[in-house]
Amino acid sequence: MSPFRKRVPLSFPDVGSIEGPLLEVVDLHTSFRTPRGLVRAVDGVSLTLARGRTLGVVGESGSGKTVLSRSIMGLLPGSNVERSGTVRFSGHDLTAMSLAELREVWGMQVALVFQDPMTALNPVVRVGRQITESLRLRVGLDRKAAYDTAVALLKSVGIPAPEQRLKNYPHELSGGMRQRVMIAIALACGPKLLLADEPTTGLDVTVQAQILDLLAAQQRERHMGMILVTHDLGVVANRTDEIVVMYAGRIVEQAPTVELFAHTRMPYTEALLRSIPRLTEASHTRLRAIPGRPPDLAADTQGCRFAPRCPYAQDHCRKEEPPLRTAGQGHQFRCWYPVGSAEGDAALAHNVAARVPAALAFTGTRVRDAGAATVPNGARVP
Amino acid sequence: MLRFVANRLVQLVVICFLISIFAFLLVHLLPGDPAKTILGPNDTPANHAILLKQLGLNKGLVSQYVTWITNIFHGNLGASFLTKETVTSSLSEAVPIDLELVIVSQVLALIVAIPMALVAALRPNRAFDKIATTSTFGMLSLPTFVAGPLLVLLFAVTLKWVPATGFNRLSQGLGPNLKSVILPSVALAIGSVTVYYRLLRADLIATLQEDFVTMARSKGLSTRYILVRHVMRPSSFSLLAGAGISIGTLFTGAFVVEILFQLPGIGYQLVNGIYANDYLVVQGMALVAAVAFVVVNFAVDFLLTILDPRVRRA
Amino acid sequence: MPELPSQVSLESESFGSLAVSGAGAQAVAARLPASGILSKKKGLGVTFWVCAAWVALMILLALLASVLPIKAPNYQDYSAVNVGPSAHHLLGTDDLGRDLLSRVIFGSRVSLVIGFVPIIVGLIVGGALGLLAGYRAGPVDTVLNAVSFVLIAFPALLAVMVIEAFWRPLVLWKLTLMFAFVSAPLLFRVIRATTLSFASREFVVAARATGAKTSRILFRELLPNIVPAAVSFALIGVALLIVLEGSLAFLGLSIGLPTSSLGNIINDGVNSNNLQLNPYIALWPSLYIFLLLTALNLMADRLRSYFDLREVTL
Repeated sequence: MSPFRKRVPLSFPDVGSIEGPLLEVVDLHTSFRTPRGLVRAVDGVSLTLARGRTLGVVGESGSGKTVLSRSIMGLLPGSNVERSGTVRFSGHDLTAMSLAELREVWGMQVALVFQDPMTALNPVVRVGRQITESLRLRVGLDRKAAYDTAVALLKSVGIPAPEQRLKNYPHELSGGMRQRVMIAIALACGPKLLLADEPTTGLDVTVQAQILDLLAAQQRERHMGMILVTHDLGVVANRTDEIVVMYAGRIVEQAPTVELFAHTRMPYTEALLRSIPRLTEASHTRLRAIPGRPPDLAADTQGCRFAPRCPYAQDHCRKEEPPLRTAGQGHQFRCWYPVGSAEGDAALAHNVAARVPAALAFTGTRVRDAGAATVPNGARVP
Repeated sequence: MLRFVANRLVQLVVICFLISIFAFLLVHLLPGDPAKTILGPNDTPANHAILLKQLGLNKGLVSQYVTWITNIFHGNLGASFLTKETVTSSLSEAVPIDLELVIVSQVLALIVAIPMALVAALRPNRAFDKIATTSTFGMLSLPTFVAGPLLVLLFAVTLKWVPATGFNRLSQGLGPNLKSVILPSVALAIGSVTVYYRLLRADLIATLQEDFVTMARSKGLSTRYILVRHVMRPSSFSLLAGAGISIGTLFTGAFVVEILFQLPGIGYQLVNGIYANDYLVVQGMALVAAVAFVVVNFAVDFLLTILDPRVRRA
Repeated sequence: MPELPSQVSLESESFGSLAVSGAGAQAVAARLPASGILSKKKGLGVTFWVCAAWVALMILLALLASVLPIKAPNYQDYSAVNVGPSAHHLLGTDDLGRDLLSRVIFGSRVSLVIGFVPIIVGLIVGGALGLLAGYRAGPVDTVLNAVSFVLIAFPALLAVMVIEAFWRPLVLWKLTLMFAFVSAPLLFRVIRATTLSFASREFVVAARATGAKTSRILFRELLPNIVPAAVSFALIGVALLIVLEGSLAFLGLSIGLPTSSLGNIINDGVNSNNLQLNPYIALWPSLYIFLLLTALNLMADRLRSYFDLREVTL
């Protein structure tokens, strides 16, 4: 018996017998102490996930979504981190657990698929061992059983000739295969919750689709809860039950997927949707990017954090931050002048008339006068 | 793969060749006349001329070099003027001593340095790390010629646990052998500990920041397992390279220890040879020491290439 | 919403907003927001300045040795032999009645020069060559590499001894020059290895692709990355050289007594009589070396962490 084996002291109820949500995050805050000040990467996030359901977390780089997934797991560096709030998994409070207890949860109950398989796999250890080590040390399989399970795992994630692949080193595999291996590793111990952090970034588009299909199939088979973290709305469009949109560390809109796409309320989400290029448009159509930059997470701000870039923003927005409001059918949003409402339309018209650049960019009006308005971030105005 | 090995071997030979030229030239810059030293009181111009001819010292430099090299290929490194002992036999006495010193001292150094580096890398810049780094640096300022006498004073003179000087061959029993070797090895190990500790610690800290370590943690694997099975392997490469240089230089670098403890190793022979203008001894020993360094480093280089799966072998 | 086809001519200078688009976009992996450069930690810390002050003091004392109100270092006062630290002799006297405080201060002049000057020369020469060789691999690099390897492989001891014997009388600058020859190849190799590991990184390729001249790449891109490793190694080199001088003194091959160098004072102090009778002779110079090296080490570490931006990531 390996000297590294540990007992599993906590008990987690089995498949169908879970009462209540699989994952419950309540007012999670995660901040980093840096020389520049406290960076509030996750600033009050609450969400729930039931078993067998998929949640999409969407946001730009710097919105805090990667930190969110790590913070849920508790996989943060030890020093200079402040975390508050509660994370309940299957009834157990992860935030109150010691490191040793958390280690029991990691891998077996909750697994994380990392973003970059080239750096997340140990380059000097064979792929086979990177899969079988969890099987042998956590599940307690012997060498033969672990090997067979690893082969089966690789087959199930769609890797041909798995016996050969087990002997390879990571750099000998293609990008798509490495990502499949990562997924196999995550699934090895049969976790109940899978956190996939940008699982398709950097892959070819066709491979992206395959990987996402694979994840969906595995989730169905194992009846797992899954959180898909991505910047790409296209990824979450057909594959999630619910979507959470993050901006500057906060949730700005949350709704079941169909509802989000059909009745978008938050201007940021609307801008994200609009920026997706469409096949039906003529070639050389300009991309409708959101002007400006993501905000500085270390700075204390007043008012809505999207206001500087928002086509609907009014003075009220800049003074007071909107709270999360509900709009029926589990749809929450954070905006004073939501899309599609009377106030929203009026706000937009007002801004266009006042030649606010964000509004003009939004409506596609050409900006004629050069000194008519100051543009945030000093972008040139022709 | 084969081409790679062949390539390396060619480089090795070329460098050894260059070293032999270097050794030869350097020694022949030594002032002093070996003939005079040998003849001693019998030094007359006639005897001098005869001896010079006998020793072949009257020929030009190039032909002397060629003679020397050809002799080497016949296994003849010449002999000492004073003791008349052949260089080869002196070497066969000296090399086992040096080998043992090297092995024992480096093993001691590693036993101390590796655990220290592991603990320090896990909690960098905290108490243990700061103390360890400072004290290993302090060891650098404890040179062998200070550590040696201190150790002798403590363990040989005061406590009388081990003899102060002399080498007991293995044939005389493992106990006496180790006793005669332990003090000099400790004195040598002190310097190596610093090098190994610093190298390993820096490499470990860099490796611990990699993504794959976080991934291993996320699998719920224990810290001990991650250190031993995931982190040590990529971090040991610089350690191996450092060991190569350390060991390579130890063959001559141990001369202080050898003289202090009266162990007739290569350094010891070399120093005595220089004092006595015994040029064949000096040439031969210097050549062997340098070649040993080169061979050790090539071997380490080769090992590194084999062990690191990321390196593409031509 | 009115949508005019394609004619939005507002230029956004930030690619952050472009990060959100359709399938296939690459995410910009910024860990912390890009607005503004991370400001450095305030100041270098108390430890750093204390060490700097100490080093400055040591240098000052060495420079001003001749005008300081201390006793002559070579004056032998037979009425005060082996006196411990007292009012008249702050650090005591040695076995010939010479004041230890002044011997240490005068000795430090020699040791500081022997320690630092060769390293500085070696850094400039070996460093410049190393940068070039590491960046521009090719025939020049191969030749330099081989030459440096031969120079290192060759027992430094032998080279020094030979040159010394040839070049009497031995004077400080000759010893310094020889040490420079010994340390330059080592520094060359270290800097070359470090340069090699950086030269293949993408930021160098990027710089070349934008048309940067070689000199610019060397100085602006590579040099800042290499300096930390080079400084660290250089400090160890200083320690090793100061100690090497002591080893030479051990063989009687260093600056002749009565001129004091820390090395030969220590050497004097560890021969068996003195070590037991008057350990102060060996103690004070050893302590001096230890404190000097520790101070330098702490300073170098602090400088490294101050300039190493990479450590401030998640």
